[in-house]
Amino acid sequence: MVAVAAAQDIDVLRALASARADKILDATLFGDKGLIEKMAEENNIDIYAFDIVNEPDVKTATHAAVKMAAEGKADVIMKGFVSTSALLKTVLSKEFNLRTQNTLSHVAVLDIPGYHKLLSVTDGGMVVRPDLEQKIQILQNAILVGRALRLNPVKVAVSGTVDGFVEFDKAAADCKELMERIEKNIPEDVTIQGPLTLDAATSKKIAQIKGLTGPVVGDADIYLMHTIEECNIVAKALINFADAVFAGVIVGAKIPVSLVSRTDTVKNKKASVSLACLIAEYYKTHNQIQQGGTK
Amino acid sequence: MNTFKEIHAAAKEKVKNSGSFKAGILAPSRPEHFKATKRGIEEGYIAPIFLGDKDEITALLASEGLNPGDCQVIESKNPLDDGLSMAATGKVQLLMNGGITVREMADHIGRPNLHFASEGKIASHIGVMEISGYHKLLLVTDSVSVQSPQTTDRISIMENAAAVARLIGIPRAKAALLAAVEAIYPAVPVTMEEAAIAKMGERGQIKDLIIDGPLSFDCAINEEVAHQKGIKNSPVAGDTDIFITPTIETANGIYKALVMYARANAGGLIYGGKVPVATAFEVDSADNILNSIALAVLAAAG
Repeated sequence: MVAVAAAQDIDVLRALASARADKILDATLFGDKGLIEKMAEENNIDIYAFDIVNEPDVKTATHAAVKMAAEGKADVIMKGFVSTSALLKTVLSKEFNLRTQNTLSHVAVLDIPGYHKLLSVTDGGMVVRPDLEQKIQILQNAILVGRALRLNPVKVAVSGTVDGFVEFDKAAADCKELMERIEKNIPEDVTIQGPLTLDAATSKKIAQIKGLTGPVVGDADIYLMHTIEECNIVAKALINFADAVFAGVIVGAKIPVSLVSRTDTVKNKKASVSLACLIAEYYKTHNQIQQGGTK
Repeated sequence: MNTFKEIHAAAKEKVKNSGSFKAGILAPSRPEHFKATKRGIEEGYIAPIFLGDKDEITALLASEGLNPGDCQVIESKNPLDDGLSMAATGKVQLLMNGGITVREMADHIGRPNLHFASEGKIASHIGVMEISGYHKLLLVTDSVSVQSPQTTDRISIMENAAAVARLIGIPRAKAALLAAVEAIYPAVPVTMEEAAIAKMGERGQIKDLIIDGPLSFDCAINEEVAHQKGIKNSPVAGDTDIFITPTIETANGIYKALVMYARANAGGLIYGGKVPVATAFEVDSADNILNSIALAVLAAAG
């Protein structure tokens, strides 16, 4: 069950209707009922199977949607016509106890034509300047997404402009520090390598030219980047110019949040909420998120 | 200029007057390095001087169909240092990194005791990309040179990019300072810095550029998205020539992503030093490396 915060958004309604037609989800829409029904009718969107809770005020609607999830009646929260910061503030409020020990982070799962598998990139939407601790948590959150996508092993590449450790590169030093820190706690189903440039992480051919070996080169599932800018901008370059389909979710809370931007296409919005459902399913069957990590 | 075809036409025009340029090709290792050099000779762009293992290079010259008479090969145990000192003494007018990684090359070039760039300036990388989804050439900087650029470095990087834009016929290029968001937030230091640089640009403190920022990537390439996100009256949004990234990892990622997955026709150079360096990344085809050589020729011709 998806609880939609301020559902009065035509493309959100379209994405939900399409995902429901594919039997991916059911949803409860919190928002301006009159407006939602008008939007659906005018645009021929089939929302009749969804419950609508009339909360015309965006703040109240958001609060009610998050409450539904906190009470265990919804498995996914989806962002509608509400700002990201207002939604996440509500999700994190003490009242709902949806926090885990991990920081919240954003994972974008990309389906890039030309790459042989999905590539999840993180964090391009949440943590501005992650320190070492936060990077580890961002990594743990991304690994959960990898597991929800039924990957085994989950192959992680840490980004860089060099391949392997070199003294002159600061990102390589940061990567080394990260690797040393997690070395003893890497779960059995996770393989991690870095630093790797995007080309070495996703192309065996390039890796070969560079003389690189290792389990992750050319076959990364997750690309962990250093800054929010790097991740956000590189992902958008792929979405805009390489026709990548993308699904963005916020992970790290007990409930996954389907985070879509107003300017995302219906296709990407549907992908986002569907991914969030898959993650919720994984949480349910593995009871993992309550332990707050992947260790 | 909107295509590499036009860039090549301009480069050919230049060498018609000046003659070909002496080019140091460092430790060439891939067939693409030789193929691009061969075509550089055929176009009249360069007279190559190869530096590295002489026997190995001579053998590869023959197998890649180069005429040994067109090429000088110098035995060098340290082609990077030797190439840079030949550049410093005017023995070559441009360099191509060949088998030395671009990042390593840039790191060496940036060492202050080398004085490769003039006092107070830096040499930085500018990637030039032609892709089917964008209406003009896309310049992206800086992929390799300054790891954590300070504001002054970023201005220097922008000046270099503006100079390269001029070389390819864009007298006042539109530059977008990229960030993850288009809003200016005190909590996100990059956005504050970029807003300040944009203000400097607005006041004419940074020459020959029309600057806006912070802009998210989608706002930089799409005016409609910028409007939807509340950015009004941006002189840059939707029509960006130069994409300026906050970190080298970002520009590096864009270049690789677009070459690999958007089939960009691309090339690039390190500009701002004693001589331009035509860059060859491992993802670059022989065509791309030839594009880089043409850009370096335009830079060397001035």
